Amino acid sequence: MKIALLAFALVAGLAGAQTPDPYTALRTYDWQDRTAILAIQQQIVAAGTAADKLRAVETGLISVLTAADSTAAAKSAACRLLWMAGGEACVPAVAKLLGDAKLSDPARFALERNPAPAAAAALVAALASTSGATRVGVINSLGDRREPTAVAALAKLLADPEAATAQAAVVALGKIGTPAAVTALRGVAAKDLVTGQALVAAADGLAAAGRATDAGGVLRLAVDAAYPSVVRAAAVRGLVALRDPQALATVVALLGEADSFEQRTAARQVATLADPATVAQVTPLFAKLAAGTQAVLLTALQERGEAAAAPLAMGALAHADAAVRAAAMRCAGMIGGEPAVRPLAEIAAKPDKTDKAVAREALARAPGAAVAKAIAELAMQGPVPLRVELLSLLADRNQKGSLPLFKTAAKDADSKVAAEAWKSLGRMATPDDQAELVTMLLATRDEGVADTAQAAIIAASRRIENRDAALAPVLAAVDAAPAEQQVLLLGILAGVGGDQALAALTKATAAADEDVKKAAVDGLANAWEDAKALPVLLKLAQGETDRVLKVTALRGFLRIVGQDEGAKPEVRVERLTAALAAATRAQEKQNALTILRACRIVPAVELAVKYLQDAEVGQDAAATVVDLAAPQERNRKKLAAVKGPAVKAALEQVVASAKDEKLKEQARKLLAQG
Amino acid sequence: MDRRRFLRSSSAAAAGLGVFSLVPSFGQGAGRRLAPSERIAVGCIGMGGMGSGNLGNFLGQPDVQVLAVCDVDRKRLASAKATVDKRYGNATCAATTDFREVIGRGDLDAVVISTPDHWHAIPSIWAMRAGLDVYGEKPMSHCLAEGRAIVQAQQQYGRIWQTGSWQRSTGSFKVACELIRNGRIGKISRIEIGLPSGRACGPVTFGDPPPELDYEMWLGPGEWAPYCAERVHYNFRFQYAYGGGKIMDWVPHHGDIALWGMDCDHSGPVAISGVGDFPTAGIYDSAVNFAVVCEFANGCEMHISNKLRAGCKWFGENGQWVWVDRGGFDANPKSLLRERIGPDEVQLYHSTNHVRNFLDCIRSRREAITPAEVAHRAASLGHLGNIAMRLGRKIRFDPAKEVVLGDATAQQMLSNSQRAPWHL
Repeated sequence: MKIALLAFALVAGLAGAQTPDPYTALRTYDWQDRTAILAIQQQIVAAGTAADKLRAVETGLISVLTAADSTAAAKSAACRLLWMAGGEACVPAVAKLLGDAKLSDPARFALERNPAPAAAAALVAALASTSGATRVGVINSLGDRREPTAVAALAKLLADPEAATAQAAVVALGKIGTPAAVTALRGVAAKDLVTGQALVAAADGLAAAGRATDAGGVLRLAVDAAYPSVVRAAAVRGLVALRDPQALATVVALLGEADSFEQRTAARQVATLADPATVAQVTPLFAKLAAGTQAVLLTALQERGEAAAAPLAMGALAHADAAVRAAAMRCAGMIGGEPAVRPLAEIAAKPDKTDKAVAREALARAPGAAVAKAIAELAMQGPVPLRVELLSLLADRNQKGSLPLFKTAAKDADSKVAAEAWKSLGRMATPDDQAELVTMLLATRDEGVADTAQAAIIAASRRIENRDAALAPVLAAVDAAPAEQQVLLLGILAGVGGDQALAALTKATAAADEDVKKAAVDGLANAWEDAKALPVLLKLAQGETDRVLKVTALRGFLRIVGQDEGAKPEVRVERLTAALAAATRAQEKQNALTILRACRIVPAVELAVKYLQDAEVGQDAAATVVDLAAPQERNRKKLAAVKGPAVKAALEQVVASAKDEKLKEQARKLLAQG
Repeated sequence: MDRRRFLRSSSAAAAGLGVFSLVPSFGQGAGRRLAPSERIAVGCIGMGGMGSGNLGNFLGQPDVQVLAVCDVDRKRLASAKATVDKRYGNATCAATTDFREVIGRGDLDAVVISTPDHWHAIPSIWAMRAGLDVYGEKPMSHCLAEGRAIVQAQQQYGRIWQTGSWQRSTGSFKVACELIRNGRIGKISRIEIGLPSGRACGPVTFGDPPPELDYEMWLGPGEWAPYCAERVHYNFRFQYAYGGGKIMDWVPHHGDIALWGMDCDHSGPVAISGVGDFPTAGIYDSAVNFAVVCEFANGCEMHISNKLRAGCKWFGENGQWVWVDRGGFDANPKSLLRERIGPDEVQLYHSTNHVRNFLDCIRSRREAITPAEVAHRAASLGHLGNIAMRLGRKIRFDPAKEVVLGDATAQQMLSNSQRAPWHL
C-alpha cells in the first residue's frame, strides 16, 4: 500500500509544479482548463496548516477577485479556493461580490465557513444592501453559520413584506437556536409548519449547547395542538430524547388521542422512554389503540426489552390483524422467555405460511438458557407437529448440546420426527459423529427415513475438508454390508467424492448384484461432481452391455464434460469426440453437439462437420457450425467466433447440405462477412 | 391541465424564486396515518439509472402504490410515468420536474430519492420534515455536515430512513459480518476495501442544455457551471461540486459492510490519510486512482483503494481472514464458511429484501437495516478520505463530536454551501 500511496502522490504532486504564476493564469479561467486551480490547490496542500503560507495563497486569490480582467468563472473559482484558504484578509474583496447576482453564491460559499468575525459582519451588513433571492441566500448563510450576532437583524426581517425573506429568517433563527433567537421566534404569531420546525431546530441547538431545560420548554410549546402533526410528533420525540420530566405524560396523552400521526409517533417513543413507569402506564391503553398503532407499540415494547410487557404480547398472539400478530410474535420471542415457547411453536406448526415464518423467526432468535431448555424439551416430548418444527428450529438456532437429542429423535417411531432429526443432524453433526451416523443409517428400516439419513450424512461429510477421512466409516462398511445397504452407502460416496470414494464406486460398477451395480453407475452419472469420474463413465458408455446403464453412463459423462468449464477446449473436444463415438442414440449426440458450442476452437468445428451428413443430428451439427463461426454471448460472457479456412469450408458445407433454410442463410452471411 | 402543460408550468415555476419555500406545498404538515390494510403510497424522485431500478423494485411490491414520479429530465420523467401507468393499468401517476410537488402532495407515506449526490440532503430533509419516510440512494450526503443534518432530521422527526446500501440485505454480507462480530477470526488488525476506479475526461464543449432538461433545477444547490453533456446525469459523480468521485460512489457499499462487521457503524476513524491521482484537464476533478487509510481507535487500519481486490476483506489473527463481495465469499480457514451463529451470540439485523425491509419498517416504525446514522458513518469514510486526499495530509478526527482536530482548513471542508434559494 505504501508503494501505491507514493505512486499516486508523485502523479498528484506534479500537477501544480509547472505553473509559475497560477493566480495570473486563473484570471482567464473558462470552466475548463483546471491547471491553475490545481496549482493553487497544490500550494494550499504544501502550506499545510502554516498560517503565513496560507495567507500568501489568500493574497493571490484576492488579486484574482480584484483584477479588472478576471472572468466570472475565475472569481467563482477563487471563492471556492478561499473555502480552503480564506481568513480575515479576503473578507472585503469577497463581500463586494455578495450583491452580484451571478457571484453572490460563490461569495457566500467563501464567507459561510470563514471563521473571521469580519465574515459574519459582512454577511449581516449585506442583509441591508441586498434583496430578493440574493438576500435569501445571505440569510441562509447566516443560519448555516449559526451566527448569534445576526439575530437582531434577522428578527427585523420576520415582518418583511417579501414572504420568502420572512420565511428564510424564521428558518435561520431556528438554526441559530440561541435564547435570543427563540425569543424572536416566539413573537411569530403563525403556528404553521415552518415556525414549528424552526422551534424544533432551535430546541435542538439549545440542547446541544447544554441548555436542556430551555430546550424542553421550547418543545412543550411545539406540542401545542395548534401546530401541524409533524411538528407535534417531532416535539414529543425531542422531549423523550431530552429525558424531559414531562415526556411520559406527553406520550400517554398523545396515545389517548384519536388515531393519528402523533399517536403512532408517541407509541414509537415507548422504546426509549427513560421513565421506569412506562410499561405500566402504556399497556392499559393498548386495547383502545388502532391496529396500526398497536403494531408500533408492540415493536417498541420488544425493543424496550422489559419482561413486564410480555403478557401484553402473549395476549396479542391471536389478534385479528396480521401486522399486530407479527409484532406480538416477535415481541413475545424476545421478552417472553420460556412461557412464549409453546404458543409460538404452535403457531409455527400451523399451515398459515406468513404466521409460521414469523413464529419460527421469533423462536430462532429468542434468547436465554430457559428458552433453549424449553425448546429442547418440547422437541422431545411435545406433540408430533411441534416436535417436527422444533427439531429443525434447534438447528436454525445452532443450539449447543442438541446432537444427542437429534440422535435419539432420529430413531423415533414416527417417521416425520425421525426424518426431521436426520435433517438437523445433517446440518449440525461434527466429524466425530460420522461413524455413529453410519451405524444409525444401517439400522434404519424406514426407506423414506433412510433416504433422508443418506442425504444428511452426505451434507455432514461435505462440511469436512478431508473427504476421504469423512468417508472412512462408509468405506469401512461398504464391502461387508448387504446389497440393500451397499446401495445407500454408495450413494453417500458418490455425493461426497474423493479418491477413495471413486475407487470404491469404480469397483462397484463391476458388482455381480444388479442393484449395487446400478447404484454405482447412477451415483457416478448423476451425483459425482468432478472430471475424475470421466474415464470410468466413458468405459461404461463404450462397453457396458446393459443398455440402460450404458446410456446412464454416457449421459453422466456428458453432464460432467458440460460442467467442467475449466478444462481446456482441446481436452473438451477430445472428450466429446469419444462421447459421440460411443453414442448410439440421437439424444446423446445432440447433447454432445450442444456442449461442443462452448469450445471455440477449429477442432470443434471439424468435429461438428463430421456429423453434417448424419440423418439424425445433421441439423444439430449444422447449427453447431454456424454457432461456432459467429460471435456469441452467453451468461453475460462474450464468446469469440472461430475463424480459419476449416471454418469457411465447414460453412460452405452447411450451405450446400443443410436442410434448414434459416441456417443456410446464416452460413451465407458469415461467409460473406469473411 | 394536460400533462404536457403541467410539465411546462411546473418547470417554469421551479426556475423562479417564488416557489422555493416549503409553503404552500407542505403547508398542512398533517402527516398520514397508514392503516394496516392500506397500500403504502410512494413518490419517486430522480428517475435515472438507480431511480429506474428503485422504481421497478417498489412497483414489484404488492402493498405499494406509486403515486408520483419526478425528474428534471422530461424524457426520463415520461418514461417513468409510462412504466407506472402500465403497471397499474391507468394514467393517474403524477409527473413533475419539481420534487416539492411530490413532497407536498399530502397523500404519500414515503419517497424514494435517487438524485445526484448534491441533491440528496435537501429533498431528504424536507421530506422528513413533511412527515414522510425516505428510501435514499447512497452516498447519503454530498459532504459530512449534510449527512449529520440528515441524521438529525431523521431523529427529530422520527422518520424511517433506509439507505440504498442494499448489500446488507443480500448474499453473504451479513454472514461475513456475523463471523467478524463473533470473533471467529479474532481481533481485526486490518481491513481492505477494493472499489472501482474514477474517470477523467478531455476538453468539453459547453452549450445550451437539451430542451427536455431543466438544467437550472439539475444544478439546484450545487455550484453553477455551464452545461455540457459530460456534466450531467451519470457523470455528476466525477465532479466534486455534485458528487465525490468513485470513492463516494462505492464506499457506502463495501465501507458500510466493513463498519458493520467491526461494530463501528455508529462511529468512525480517528485518523485519515490518503493520496489521489486527480485529472488535470477537463471538468472532472475527483480522484481517478485513490488510496485512503483510515485508522480506528482500536488500532485497526482500513485501507480503501481502487487498487485492491474488489469487496471487503477483514484480517484477523493467525493468518485468518474473511472476504466478501457480490457473489463472492471466502475465508481462511475454509471451515469458517460453514459456521453458524447461535441465538445467544451476536446476531445482526436480518433482512433478505432491502425494499421489503423499508416497507415493513414503515408499518412497524422499527428502525430499518440501513438507518441514517449508519449510512452517514459509511459515507463519512469517503468524505474524510476525499478531504485527506485533497489536502495531501493526515487529518485527525473525533468521531464522537465529528470535528477535525488541529486543522482548520480540513474542518471547513466538512461542510458545503447551497446556492440560493436552496438550504438544508
